[in-house]
Amino acid sequence: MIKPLSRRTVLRSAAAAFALPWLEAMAPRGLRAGEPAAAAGPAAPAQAAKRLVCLYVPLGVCNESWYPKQTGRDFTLSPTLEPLAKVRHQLHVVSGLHHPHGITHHAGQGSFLNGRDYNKNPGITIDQEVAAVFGKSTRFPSLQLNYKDDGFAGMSYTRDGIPLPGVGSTEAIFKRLFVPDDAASQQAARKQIAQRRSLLDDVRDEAKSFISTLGQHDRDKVEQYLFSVREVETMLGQSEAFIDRPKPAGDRAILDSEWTGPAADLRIKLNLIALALETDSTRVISYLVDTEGSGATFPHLGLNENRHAYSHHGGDAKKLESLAITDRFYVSEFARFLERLEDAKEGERSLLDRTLVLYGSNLNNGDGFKNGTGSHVNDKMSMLLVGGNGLGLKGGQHLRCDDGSIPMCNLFLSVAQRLGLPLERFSDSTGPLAGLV
Amino acid sequence: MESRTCRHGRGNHRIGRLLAVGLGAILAASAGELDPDLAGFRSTIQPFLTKYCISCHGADHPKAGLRLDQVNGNLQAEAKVAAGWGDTLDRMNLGEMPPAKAAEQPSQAERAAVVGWISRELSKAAQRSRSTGGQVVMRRLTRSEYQRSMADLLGVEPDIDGLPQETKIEGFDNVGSALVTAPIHIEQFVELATAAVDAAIDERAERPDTELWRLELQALPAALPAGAIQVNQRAPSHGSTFTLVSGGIPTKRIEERHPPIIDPATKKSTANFQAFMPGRPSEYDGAWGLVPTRMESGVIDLGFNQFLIRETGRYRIRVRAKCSVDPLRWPFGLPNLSIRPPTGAKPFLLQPFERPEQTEVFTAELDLRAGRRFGIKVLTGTVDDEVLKRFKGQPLVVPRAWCDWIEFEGPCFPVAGWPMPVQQRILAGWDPWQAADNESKVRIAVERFLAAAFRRPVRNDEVDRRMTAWRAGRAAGATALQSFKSVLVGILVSPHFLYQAEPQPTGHRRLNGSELAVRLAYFLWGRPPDDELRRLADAGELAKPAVLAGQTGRLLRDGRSRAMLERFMAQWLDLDHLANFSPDSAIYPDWDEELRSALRQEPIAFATEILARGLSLVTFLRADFVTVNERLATYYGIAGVIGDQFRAVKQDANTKRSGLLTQGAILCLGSNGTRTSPVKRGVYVLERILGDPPPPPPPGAGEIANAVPGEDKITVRERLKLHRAVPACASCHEKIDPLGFAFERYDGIGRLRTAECSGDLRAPKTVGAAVDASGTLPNGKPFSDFAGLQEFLVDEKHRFLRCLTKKMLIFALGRELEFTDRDLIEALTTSLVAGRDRFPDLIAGIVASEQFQSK
Repeated sequence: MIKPLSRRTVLRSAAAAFALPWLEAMAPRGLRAGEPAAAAGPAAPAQAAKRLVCLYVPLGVCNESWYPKQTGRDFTLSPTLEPLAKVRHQLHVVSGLHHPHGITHHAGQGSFLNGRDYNKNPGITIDQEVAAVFGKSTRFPSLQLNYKDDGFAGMSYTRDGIPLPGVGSTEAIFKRLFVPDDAASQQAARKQIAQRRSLLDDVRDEAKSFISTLGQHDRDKVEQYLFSVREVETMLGQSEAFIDRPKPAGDRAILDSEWTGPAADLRIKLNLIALALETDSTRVISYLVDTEGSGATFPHLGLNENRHAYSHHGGDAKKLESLAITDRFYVSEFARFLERLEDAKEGERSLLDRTLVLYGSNLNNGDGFKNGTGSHVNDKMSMLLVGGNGLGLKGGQHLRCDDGSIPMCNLFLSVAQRLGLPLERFSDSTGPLAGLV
Repeated sequence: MESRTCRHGRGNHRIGRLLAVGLGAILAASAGELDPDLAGFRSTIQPFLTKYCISCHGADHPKAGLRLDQVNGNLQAEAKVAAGWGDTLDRMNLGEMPPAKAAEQPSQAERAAVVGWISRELSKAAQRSRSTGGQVVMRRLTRSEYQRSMADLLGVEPDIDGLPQETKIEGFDNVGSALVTAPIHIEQFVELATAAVDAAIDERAERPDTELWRLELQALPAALPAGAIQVNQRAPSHGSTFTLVSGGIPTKRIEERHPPIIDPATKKSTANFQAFMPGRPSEYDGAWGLVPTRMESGVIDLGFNQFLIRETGRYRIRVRAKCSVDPLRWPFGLPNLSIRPPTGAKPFLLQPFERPEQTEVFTAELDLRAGRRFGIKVLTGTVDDEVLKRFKGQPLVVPRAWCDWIEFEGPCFPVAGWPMPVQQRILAGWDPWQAADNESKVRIAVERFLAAAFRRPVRNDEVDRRMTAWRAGRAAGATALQSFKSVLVGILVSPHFLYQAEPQPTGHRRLNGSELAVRLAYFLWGRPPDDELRRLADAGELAKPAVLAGQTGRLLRDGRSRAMLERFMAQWLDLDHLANFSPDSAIYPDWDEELRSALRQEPIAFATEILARGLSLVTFLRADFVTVNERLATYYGIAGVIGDQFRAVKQDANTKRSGLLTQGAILCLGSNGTRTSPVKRGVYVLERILGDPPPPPPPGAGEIANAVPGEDKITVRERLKLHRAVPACASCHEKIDPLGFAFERYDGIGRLRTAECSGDLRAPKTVGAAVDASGTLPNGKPFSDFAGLQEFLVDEKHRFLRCLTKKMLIFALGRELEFTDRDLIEALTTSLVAGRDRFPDLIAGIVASEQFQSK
C-alpha cells in the first residue's frame, strides 16, 4: 500500500501545481470576435455582445479628494477622479450606496458583489448572474482574477453560494487565454470529454433510479446533484465546441512592465482584461485588485506604508494625502484601461459603449462623504460605473444618495437590467437605482 | 449508557417538569417555543404601531405604500410577511423609523421591546422553515470525509484544495441540509477520482527500474575534472532576484552525462557526480555549499530540465544539510529549506531544521510523469518579509543553510514485488495482463470495490451495470485494466459513494446494520467503516446494544478517533478562525507561525488528554494541568518543556492557565489583533460555553465609533461603558461585556499582562492603569477576575454540559437540533451532571439514542 505522505512532504506534480478546473484547463480554442465561426460552435454576433467588468479596490478612498463637489450632470471632476476626464461621457460617480446585510470589514470582498454575509447567507454575485446569460457564447463563461493565487478567497460566488477561485498569476491568465494547445492535447481533450460524457451519463442514470427510493429532503439533494451533472455536461459541450477553434493571438509583451510588485501586476492584469474582452474570450470578468490585509505598498509613489495604515488615517492630513495619492494611482490605471476600451471599435461603437465597468470598495473609511476619523464602516460607499453609452446610459453624472439608505444592490440590479437581463430583484435590492441616467 | 428517550409527542408534557428543575432557559426551543408569539403581538406590537406608526402608515394614503394597521403578526404565515418585518427591523435598528422628525418618539424601552420581539419572531420563523422534522438530510461527504474515504479505498489521499469549503451551520461542516453539490464539486470529484485511480493502479505489467542520481557540492577547483558539472551563479547581491542558470553544460543534460547503471539484481541504479560552484570562498566550507536565502541571488540549481523522467511514478528528493545561526542577532527561529520544482510550480517547504549545526537529511516526494523533464533548486525561503524589512540597510544576519549533497531517485515503491499491495487488494486475484479476458474475475474485483465504496452489500443489478460499462470500454478499444479503471472512477462519482445514503421514502425508520456502521464510523473516525465493523453490520450483530457499545469503545480507543476530536474541537471552538488572526507585529513582535500552529493544536491536545485519561468533561472548565509543547511552554512561561510533542504538565499556580478559556487560542479569538476585545470574549463564553448566544448586532452597527474624545487615553472598559450608554446597544452589551472583562488579565495575544492599554483599535498604548478584570456574573453577583467567573461556570456546570451535549449531538447527527430532541438533550445532560461525565459517556449516550439509530 502506498502510504499517503503528509501533504507537507509530498511535492505536487508540476501539472497539478497550477490548479484549474479541468474544463478550462482543457482550453477550448475560439475565434477572435468578428471572424467567421467554425462549424457548429456557439458564436453570437460580436456586435450584440454586452459585457460586465467588476473591479474591487480595498479600504475605501480619501473621501474629500474623491467626491465631486456638485451632483447631477453638471459636475467638476474631483482631484482624484481627474484622470477620468477623457471618458467623462461614460462615467457615473455613484455615491452613498451601501450593503445593509453584507460584511464590510476585512475580507469584505466576499460581500461586495451581492451584499450578502457569505458565512451565513451565501448566494450568487452579480457577475455570475450575468455570466449565466452571457457565458454560453464565449470560450470562458467568466473569468475571476485575483491579486494572488489564493484558493477560493475571491469575490465571485455561484448560485449555490460556492466561491469561485480567482487566478493570480499573470502568466497563468495569459496561458489560459492566448497560448494555443498543441495538437496532441487537443486530441487528448476530445478523448477526455468523450470519456467524461459517458461517465456522467452512467451516473445520471443511476442517480435517477436512486431518487425514487428517497424522501423529499434527500430527493432535493440528489436533484441538486443531477442538476450539477447536467451543468457539467453542458460545459463539456461548450468546451468541445471550442476545441478546434484557435485561441486568439496575444503578444507576450503584455506581461512586461517597467514596474515591479503590485503596481506592475495591476497594469498587466488590466491589459489582460482588455485583451480578453477585445478578443471576445469572455464577457464577464471580476478582478480583485487587492484585499484589506495584503500589506501591499507603493514604493514607486514614494509611499512606504501600506494602504491599510493610510486608511486608518485618524483624520491625519499626511495619511489622508498618502491615501489620496494611492487612490489617484488606481484611478489613473483604471482610466488608462477605460480609454483602451473606448478606443477599441466594434463597428460604429466603442467596446466601452457596450460594456459596463464597476469600480468600488466595500467600506468607507470616513464619515459619510467627509474624511472622518478613519474607522472602517459600512456606510456610504464610493462607487464608479463606467461605460454603457450604447446601452442607453448617458454618462457624465454624479449621482449622490445623501440619506444613505439605498442598497448597493439597487445599482447592481440596474446594471443587470441595462445588460438586458430580465431580473426584477437582486439580493437585497429594493428596486432599480433611481436617477441613473 | 443512557436509556433511549421517546422522541415524539411527549415534548410538551415534559416541559413543566424540565422547567421545574430550573433548566428551561437554555433548552432547545420546544414546539410551543417555536409557535408565533401572537399574545406579544397584541400586547406589545399593536399598541406601539398604533401610537407611533399608523399616522403615516395607516389606511389613508399610507407612506411608501406600507400599511401597518392590518399587518400580520404571524411571521410564519408567509415568507413575505417575515420579509416585511425584517425590513421594519432594519429600519428601526438604523434609527430611520420612527423618523426623528416625528413629534412623538418611543422610549428606548419601548423600542427595545419591539426590536426584541421582531428579532425573536424572525429567528423562530427561520428555524421552523429549515426544520426537517427531526430527520437527517442525506449528507454528502465533507471535504475531509471524502479525502479519508478515498484514502481507505485507494491508499491515495487526494488533494482537496480544489473543493470549496462547506457552509457551516452552528460551526459544523457536516450538516446535510447545508451540504450543496455544485458543478465544481462534480468536476472535482471526476478529476480527483481519475487521478487517485491512476495513482493506485499501475498499468505496467512489470516493476520499472529505479534510478538514483547523487549530486555532491564542491567549491570550484582550478581545473574541472572530466564529466563534472559546473553550476553558474550570478554574483550574490542583496535584494536582486535569482535568475540562475545551470551552466557549463547547457546542451548536455545530466541524465545523459551521468546515465545511471542499473543493477539487474536489485533493479536499482546509481549515478554519482560532483557539482562545482564558483563564488566567494566564504560560500563554501569544504564539502558544504551555501544555500542562499530567498532575498539573495544564488540557488543550488540542478536546472529546470536536467532530468528526463523515463518512468511515471513517485520520485524522491533527499537533501543533506545543516544550518548556522547567530541566536543573539536572530531570535526568529531556524529556517527551512525549500525546493523549487520547475516552471511555475510553487517552492516546496521541507521541515524546519531542528537544531543549528546539526546535520539533517530532508526528504520530499512528488509524482512525475514519464516524458517530462525535471530539475531541482534548493533555497532557504521561509524568512518572513516583515522580518526582512527590519534589516533594511543593515547586513542580513539570517540563518545560513549549508548543503552537502542532493539525491534524486525514482520511481520509488514502498515495498518489494509487483503490483503494489493496494492494487493487489483491488484486483482481488484478477491478472489483468493475461492475454484473454477473465470476466468472472473482473466481476469479483468490481463487486468488492463497489461494496467497499458504497459501504454496504451490493445488488447484482448494480454490479451488472458496471460490467456493462466495462465491456463497453473493452469494445471501444481500452485494455481490460483501463476499462476497469474507468469503472472505478464511475463508482467514485456515484451518489451512493458521495452521500451517506439511508433511503426512506416517507417517515422514520430504524437504520439497518450497514447504515448504522456508516454513521458510527463517520462520527468517530470521519471515514468509512473498517472490515470488522462491516462484518458485524452484515451479520446483523451491530444493532445489539452490547455489540454497538463495544464497537463504540473500540472506535474511540483507536488512533483514528483523533480525526473526530480534531474536527469536533476545531468546529465547536471555531479554531479555524485562528488562521485569519493577524496580530499587529509592532505590538506583538514575538508572534510567529509556529506559535499560531501550537495555539491551534493546544485545545485538541487538551481534549485528547481528557479522553485518554478518562477525565471529567468539566475539566474543560477547570484543569490542574496544561497541555503544551516547547513553543507553547515558552509562551506561557513554563520551564522544562523540550520538543514539539504536546504533553500534560501539572499546572503551576502562577501560570493562571486553567481550562479551555485561558488557552491562548481562545484568548486570541477574543482579540482584535491590537488589543483585547471583551465583547468578542464575552460573546464566545455565551455562545460556546453557556450555549446562550446573544442576538446578532443590528446591520450597520459596525465598530464602536472612534470619535470618542480622548480615545487614546481611555481603556477598553471605559470605551465600552460609553457604548452601553447607547440604549440600543445596552440591552445586549450589559450581558456580554462583563463576562469578557474577566479575561482582561490576558493581552491581545493571550499573554498575562499587568497594565491596561488604551482602547484605540489602531494603536493601543499602555496607559499605566492596573488591569481591572472585574465584572458581573449572569446571576448578578460581582467577581474580581477570571477565577470568579470560573467558579461560577463550574458551579453551573449543567449549562456547560448541556451546551457541549448539543454541540456534540449536531456533530454526531449532521443536522440542526429540533424541539423533538429536547428529551434526549435533557437525559444526556442529566446523566453527565450526575457524574457519568466523561467523553465516552456522552458519546455512548448519543450512539444509543433513537435519533442516532434512525432515519
